[in-house]
Amino acid sequence: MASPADKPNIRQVAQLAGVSHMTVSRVLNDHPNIREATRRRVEEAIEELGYRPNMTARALATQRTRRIGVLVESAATFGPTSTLYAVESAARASGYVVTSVLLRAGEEITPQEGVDHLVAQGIDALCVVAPRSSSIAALRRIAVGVPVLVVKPDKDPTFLTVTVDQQAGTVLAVDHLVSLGHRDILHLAGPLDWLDARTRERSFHARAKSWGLRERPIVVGDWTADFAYDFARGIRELPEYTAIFAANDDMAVGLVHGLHDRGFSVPDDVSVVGFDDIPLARHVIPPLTTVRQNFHALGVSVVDVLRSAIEEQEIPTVTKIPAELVARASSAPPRKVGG
Amino acid sequence: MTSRPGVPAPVVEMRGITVERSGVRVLDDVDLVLRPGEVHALMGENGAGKSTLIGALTGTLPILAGTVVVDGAASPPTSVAQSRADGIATVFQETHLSPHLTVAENVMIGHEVRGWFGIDWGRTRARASAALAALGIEDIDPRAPLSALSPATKQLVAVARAIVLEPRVLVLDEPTSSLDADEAARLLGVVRRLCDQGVAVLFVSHFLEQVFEVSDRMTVLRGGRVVAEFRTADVERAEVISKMLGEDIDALQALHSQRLAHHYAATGEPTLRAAALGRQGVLEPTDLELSRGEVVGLAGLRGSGRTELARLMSGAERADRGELWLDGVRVQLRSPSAALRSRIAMSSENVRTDGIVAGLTVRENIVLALQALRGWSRPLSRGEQDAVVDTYLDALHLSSDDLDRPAGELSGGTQQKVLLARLLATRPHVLILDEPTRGIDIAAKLEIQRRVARLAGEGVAVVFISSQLEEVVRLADRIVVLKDREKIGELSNGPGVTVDTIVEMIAAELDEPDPGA
Repeated sequence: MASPADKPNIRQVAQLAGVSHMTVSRVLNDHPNIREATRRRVEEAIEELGYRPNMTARALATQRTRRIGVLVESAATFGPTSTLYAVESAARASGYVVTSVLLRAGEEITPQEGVDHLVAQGIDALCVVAPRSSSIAALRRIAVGVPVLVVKPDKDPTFLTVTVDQQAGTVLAVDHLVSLGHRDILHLAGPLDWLDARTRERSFHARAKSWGLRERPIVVGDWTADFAYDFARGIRELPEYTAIFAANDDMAVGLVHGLHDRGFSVPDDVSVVGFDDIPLARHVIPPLTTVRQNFHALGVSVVDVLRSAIEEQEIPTVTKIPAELVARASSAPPRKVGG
Repeated sequence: MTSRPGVPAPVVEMRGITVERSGVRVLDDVDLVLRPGEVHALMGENGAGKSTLIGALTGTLPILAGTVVVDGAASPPTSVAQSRADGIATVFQETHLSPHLTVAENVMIGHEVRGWFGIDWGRTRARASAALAALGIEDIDPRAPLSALSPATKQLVAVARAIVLEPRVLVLDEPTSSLDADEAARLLGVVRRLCDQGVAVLFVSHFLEQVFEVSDRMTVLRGGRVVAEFRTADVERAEVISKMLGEDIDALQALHSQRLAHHYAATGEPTLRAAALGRQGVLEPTDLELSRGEVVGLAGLRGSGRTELARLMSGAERADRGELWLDGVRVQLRSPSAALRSRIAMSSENVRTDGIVAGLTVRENIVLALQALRGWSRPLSRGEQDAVVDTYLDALHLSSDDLDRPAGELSGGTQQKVLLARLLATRPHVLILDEPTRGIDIAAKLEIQRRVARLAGEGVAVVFISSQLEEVVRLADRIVVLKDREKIGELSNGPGVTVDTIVEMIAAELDEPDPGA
């Protein structure tokens, strides 16, 4: 597809006109915010060089669908749903529409089929939400043909990434509990093949270690409140740990409920901190201390990055959205051990 | 024989093979068909007849009845030389190689290129290099002495030696039993490559996952008969296992379902507590608590520090930092026997060289540790020995016929059970088992797993190491994950934990170091 070297290219046009190649691109695409003088200079350079835009690129450029495809894994949970919602809102505000495919456990849709389905509809870019490592592996083997952004915590050699800062969010939660006096904290993790769960777990491990907290085995959950409820309900005696950091709010709510039914008080016996700040978090009894993920900012950032990629502009470098701690009543100083 | 499109004509057809040994029918009317470009796995427990069938194919065992057709011509291999002439090569364990010879010599031994003045070493080495290159392992120096190579590379050299004669049939008998996952993957890659070149491969392995990864077809033997033949793509693991065991797979599933329940952390004073225990260049300082009645799995790749941690906790290796506390008292374990006196018993990873004394009888092997504990000046009477031996005979389904046989004559599975019995006879409070089920058949494996689960129920603190993560997940109450000589985390076992959980934990990397660290 590469044009032969002797054909004039967009960079030569830009050089002759004394503008950036992006400006040339904007002129070619009738971008409104171009000064008339600049436009004329570029058009003259195009004529002088006999420049013909690469037809394939041109077709892609002019036949943009202004559609962003979103592949969402297990949209039943709050994080992925909220991310999809936020991306959709931000896309609409920028004049894009969103088409989404939901991959659900137990359904026979592979990432390949999901991508095929979206590409067949014509998309300008693909956004993958809440991916598991297996889907990332599958995605790497698929030639998508448009910019691909993955909402995931670590940088990637292939994909654009945007994320709420999972590591910083976890550190906030741990530091909050430590500052209350907790030295023995249980982590209820999400399934570790989910990259967010993995990052929260690893960050918890590192931060707990650097505080010198009691090293204790983590419990791996499945993101659901039911799982956490069953776990808490089955606790035999008042545990030695004085706080639980759950990897999402659903599980934190399940814990609060299960601990209550088991006869333990939150936060008097055990403090509970979640992650996400779901709308219900502030209405649980006691209201849940949690790490707030700003999904709105995440959606805006996703669309910004994708638009820049589609329009071949410089990609914004700050792609980590800060997390914030929301301290409510489910966390308190630890009970006196042995007292 | 007409060949259907897409299915190449067989290179070997064995029909109705029957073999007797000392009047006992060890193979009965067995069929086996090998096709070019196919990896055919031979599955079965120890004693199912796999080795006998290989012997019948390669001419090392006489056939009582049946036909072996090679390339459409009935040509019963009557000798190893005959089968080799028919293009059938066997890869033996790397232990059949000569450690003092070079790689090239090992590959070419018996097939050296001869020139005017004897062996032409230049051309011999070139042939050896070609064989190594054909396997994609040209990075091995043909001049290197074999003893300088890792077990995995030695095994690859053994394969190179087998393919020098460009066989059309390659028999691999447990080629990966001494390799870790990466090494085995490399060997399996070589197997696939040979297969793609049109070689028919007969593959024998205890490792179900490897068989599923590499084979196109499998034949399951039990009690000397073929009980099933499958296309690998069409079959479930559980089905293959049940065919091999010939019994309901309830037992397997019963063990499996244990982990569907939540496990809760033990409370109270731990039996054994390692505090920043480590050794320079061997293991980073590590904290670990063991409580009575729990099975703690150590998971990690080989070289992750899992064996090293076990050795430091059992006196097999001296720690140069950190502390070890036993029931609240600080201890220094200067040797495994000192550990044994403190009721900490460990089985070694390498049962065949470190554990079982091949020349002693099963009975003597079982009472060995107990005798050592008591002191050699006070030998156990025959009556005392019998009492100890009887206790574990039933518990581990050992046969009383084997009691007075040298342990070296027994299968790997039986040796492992003897070793376990030896350790149990010392009534340990802490039992550390390093790869206790490696390379043994599934029935023996299940027995050992069941026994481990029961021990925990009896109040022993058990440390269980296995490179088969599935086994760790099935057995452990708690899983300690190690990576690059460091403990990287601990998991409470439960419904959310799978093999993937451990794999992902090992795979995870943080972008940046913890800002507060």
